[in-house]
Amino acid sequence: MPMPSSRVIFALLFFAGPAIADPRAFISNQLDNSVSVIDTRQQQIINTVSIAGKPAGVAINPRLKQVYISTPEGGGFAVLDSDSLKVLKTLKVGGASLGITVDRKGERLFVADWYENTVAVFEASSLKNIIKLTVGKSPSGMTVSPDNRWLYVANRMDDSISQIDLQNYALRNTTKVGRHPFGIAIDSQGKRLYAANVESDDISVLDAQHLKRLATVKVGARPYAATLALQDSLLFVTNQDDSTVSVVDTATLQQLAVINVGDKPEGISVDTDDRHVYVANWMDGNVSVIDAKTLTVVNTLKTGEGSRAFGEFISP
Amino acid sequence: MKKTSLFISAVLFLFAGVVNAHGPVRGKLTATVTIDAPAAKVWDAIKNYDDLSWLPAVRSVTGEGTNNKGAIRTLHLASGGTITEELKAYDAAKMAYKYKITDMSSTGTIKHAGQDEHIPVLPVGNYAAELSVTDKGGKAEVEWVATYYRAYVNNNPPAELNEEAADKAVTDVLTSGLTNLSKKVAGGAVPSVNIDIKR
Repeated sequence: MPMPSSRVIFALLFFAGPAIADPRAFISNQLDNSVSVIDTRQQQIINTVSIAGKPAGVAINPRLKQVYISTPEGGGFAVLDSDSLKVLKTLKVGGASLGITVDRKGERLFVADWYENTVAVFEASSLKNIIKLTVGKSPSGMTVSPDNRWLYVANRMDDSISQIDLQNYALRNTTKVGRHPFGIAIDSQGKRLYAANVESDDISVLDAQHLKRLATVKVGARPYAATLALQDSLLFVTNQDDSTVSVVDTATLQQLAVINVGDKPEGISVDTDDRHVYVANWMDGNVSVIDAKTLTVVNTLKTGEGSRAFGEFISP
Repeated sequence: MKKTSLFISAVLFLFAGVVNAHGPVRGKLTATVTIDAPAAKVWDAIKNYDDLSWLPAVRSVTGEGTNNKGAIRTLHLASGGTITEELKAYDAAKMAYKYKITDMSSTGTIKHAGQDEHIPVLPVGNYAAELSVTDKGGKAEVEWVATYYRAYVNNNPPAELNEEAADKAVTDVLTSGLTNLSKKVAGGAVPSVNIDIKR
């Protein structure tokens, strides 16, 4: 266990009052039924919260200062206060709740049901169910466009992405992508959507407005999820079976580097500095921290068994 | 009282149905044994990727003769089937290597949900494993960790291709392997193999 540096001790002593919290990464440890909380400025684990039901998916609500953790075995999700780290509530949703995401205003929460082929929409403050949307088979990864207009859903067993209009919940487009899309990511301008295709070992690049296929980029074995860094210039993709992260130049759409991380890397998310990329390694039970400027692993933090962190898991 | 117990049994029935209906979930099986011999001696017995003479389930191995990343070996099983495996990582200093199954022969087919389903010779999917030896106070702690899914990818698997079948098969191979390794290298009393399965 690393000793706190003298700088950290000084900071703790000096800023002893209520301070603005550092950004935090919430890492679900599926096999341990817990969530590790990492202070990303200090790059240290600050707490571990017990969450029953095999916690897997993570979503952040900065407006309500809450974190949602999906519990597929528990058939629902847990709501955590992101400051106190207390579990505020647990809700039952349906068959297997895995993918989870929040709209860009923190007003609505979306939970995908793997068996029912639906996405349940909740009003975030009241946690009341607004509507249940029917999508494709085995909805998994989800994300909302930066302008809060569109919800994108990866339908794993259908090899497709659904685009839903959040003004009226109408299905606007369904586009076929590679085999078994799982984790998806959208750029900060809402221009391009990237889908990691587990069975075809590639990334589908789509025009996010009209959901038109633009390109396919080959990555490593069984990609799981992706995130963008350095002003959308680089796409980082976890390759579960290669123990690596592929780095794709989004201008040329070519893989430009492959970084060694832990075994069975899965969830991946960029820090609020748009520079450090956090990777959850399921097999090793730890997190690799990548510096997007040097494309090297700068830290490895021990979390828990089966670290998965599926979703956008870093809170401001 | 009657109403409550009926309600409870209905809920349990529903819950049981949902739990059994789930898609494949990756399992992690850790087999460990402490062998009464120096770690280097145990490593010597297992360090060549093409040499599985210590593993009872395997009759012979066809390989490339290297311990280089990407090397392929084909296991010819005592039961008659084959398993093909690719070497993913090799670290002589750490006395460890990692590999994954890329292909398997089938022992036959069964009919399930109106389809013919092949039964792979090891009823698992996407199988990867790591074998390592560590010195523990002069003895050798051998750890064999396997990650895998059940062989059937849709919901409601048949008994031959479900999680229980996968766990049992992997447990059998790893346990007999580590037990035989101990006999071969150390002789004497056979230590018990500890099995831990997480899913």
